[in-house]
Amino acid sequence: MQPTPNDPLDALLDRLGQATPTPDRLEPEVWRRIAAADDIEGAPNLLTRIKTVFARPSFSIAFAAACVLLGLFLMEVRHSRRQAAHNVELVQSYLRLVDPLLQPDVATATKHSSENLEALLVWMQSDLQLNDEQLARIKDVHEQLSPRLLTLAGQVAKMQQAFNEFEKERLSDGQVDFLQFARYVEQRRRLDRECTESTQRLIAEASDVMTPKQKQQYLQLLDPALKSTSSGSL
Amino acid sequence: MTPNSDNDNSDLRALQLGDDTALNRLMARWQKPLFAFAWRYLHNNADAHDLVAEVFVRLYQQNHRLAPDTRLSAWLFTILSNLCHNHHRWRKRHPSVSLDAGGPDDGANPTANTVPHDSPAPDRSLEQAEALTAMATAIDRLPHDLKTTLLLHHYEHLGYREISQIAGCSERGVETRLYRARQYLRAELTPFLREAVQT
Repeated sequence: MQPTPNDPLDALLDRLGQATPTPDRLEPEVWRRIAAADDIEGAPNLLTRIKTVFARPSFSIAFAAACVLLGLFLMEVRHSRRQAAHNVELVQSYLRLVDPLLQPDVATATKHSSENLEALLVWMQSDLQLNDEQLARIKDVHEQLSPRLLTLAGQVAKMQQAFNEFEKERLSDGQVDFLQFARYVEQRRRLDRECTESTQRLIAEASDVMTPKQKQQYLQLLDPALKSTSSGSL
Repeated sequence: MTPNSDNDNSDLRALQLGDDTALNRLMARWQKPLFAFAWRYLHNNADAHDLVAEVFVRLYQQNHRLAPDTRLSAWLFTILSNLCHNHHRWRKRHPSVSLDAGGPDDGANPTANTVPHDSPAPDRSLEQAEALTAMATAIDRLPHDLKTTLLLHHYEHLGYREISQIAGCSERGVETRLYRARQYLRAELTPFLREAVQT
């Protein structure tokens, strides 16, 4: 539809068109808004950031791989700790076997001595990677010195019994025979020395069978247990 | 419509290649017609300024989505007419007093400052101002599609094809809308048109 020439409606529309005001400058306002929008886009929230980062397949794969590796690492750490705790227990068992001062009960020690020795030798072989020949020689060393150690353990038990009687007497009579007690202390010191020397001799003979590396590892294994147990001896 | 579409396309291409100054050139070229359209639609300076600024912000943000041969005038007016429509609906739901002098809703004369000083007589000037106010009110009452078609055709001098792209209808549809818009205005402004013919 074309408007009629000299249509009064067009004249009125034209007059209204003349009333349009002049616009202000737009550029500053437009660039300000663009900068503001960029700032908002440039600082997304944490969730958006995470979503954006995980949207990348390479990152997702790397993250999954890192999780698996971390899991394996933590599992290994846990296993190592458990193994270390187990090793300490085994070392303490071993020390109780080779140190008469640490054997609480001679009868039990005698009864389970051979069983304990077998079990501990299996542990030593796997942990120190001993070959069969080394294992056989170490077994011989232990078996040769074992009777002597058991005898010493028996003497230690007797001495402990004697000490208990002294203590009982002190508590009941209010006094002890100091000369007799001094002799007891002297005997006990001599016995402790013998026990320590026997244990050291066994450890030395057993470590002589080993390679330097095995020897170092063997002594390192015994070191913390030796320290903790030595503090408990008289 | 005065701006040259070749310049628009070269500036759009420059903008897409990262030349931000191209947006300034497009603003300089299109600010006036866009503002005029928005002002005639809304009869409010601040709102018109705000919506035209928004159009250029969107052009900057979405320029990569536009094909190099996009008819920029159609794109700009499409965005602006949609913004005006949304804003007009929002204004209807949230009425407020305009700070601008004039406006069809507040009863003030939108053409008060434009009445020439050499008008024949004060009563004649008053009649003319009244007619213009009635016209502005009638345009404001037009439905969105009729109003957009009328404003683009009469004031921006766009062709039927271009208006059809903006309004999302056929060229025949544009013609029909234009006819209906004029019929509506004639019906609303009958006494003023009769006076205009008589004078």
